[in-house]
Amino acid sequence: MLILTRKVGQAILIGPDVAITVLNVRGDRVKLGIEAPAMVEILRQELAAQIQEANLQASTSGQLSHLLPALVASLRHGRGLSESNSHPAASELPPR
Amino acid sequence: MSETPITFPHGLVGCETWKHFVLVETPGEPIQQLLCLDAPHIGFLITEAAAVCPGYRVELTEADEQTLACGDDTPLEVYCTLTLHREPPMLTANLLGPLVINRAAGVGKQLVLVNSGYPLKHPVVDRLPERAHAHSY
Repeated sequence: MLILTRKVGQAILIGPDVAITVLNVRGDRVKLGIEAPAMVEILRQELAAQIQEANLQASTSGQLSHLLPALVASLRHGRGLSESNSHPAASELPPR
Repeated sequence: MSETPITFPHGLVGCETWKHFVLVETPGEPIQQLLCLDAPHIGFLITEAAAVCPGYRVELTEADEQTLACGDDTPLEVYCTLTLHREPPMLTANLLGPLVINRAAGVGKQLVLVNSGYPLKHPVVDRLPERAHAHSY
């Protein structure tokens, strides 16, 4: 990891198109200004990590897809779901 | 049952090597499968996001539009992944990181809806997903 020390108002350049400026430091919070082309995606790391975790969790549930019909049935049955009119059979389920 | 190849040029968020998928659909079924060709046993259950969250909208950046090879009139489909929880048995939809697909071009992209307020685990309990016909983005 490259480590640089910057003061408020100073910037670093990454490649020809990206500049990151330290705008403000207050306690343990640092405010950064980022200038980059619209094509460069900028994400808070923890948000990306959340989505990654969700992807990994969802991907394993693909293997559970054989459980899906039973789950859907139990959701309908247990909750007394009112499926739309396009599924007449659902309206025949006993209300809870 | 139909199978449509979809490429995610950047992969999925945090899973960048998962780029090539097949969208498997059964007519009339509200849930589709998105099977990954780059990793064994990787697949998602997905549904149209508007079906589990009426009024669901995504905003595309310039980068998104370029990746999705879309213009102003390009029809896009917005899906969300579903997670099946065993105990207690429930289904949640990831509305924070939807999958946007340009079916005609065969490309897709996973967005991260920063500041949207959409949840990562939206419970799909009191309304089973219906196959929506109107796409919003």
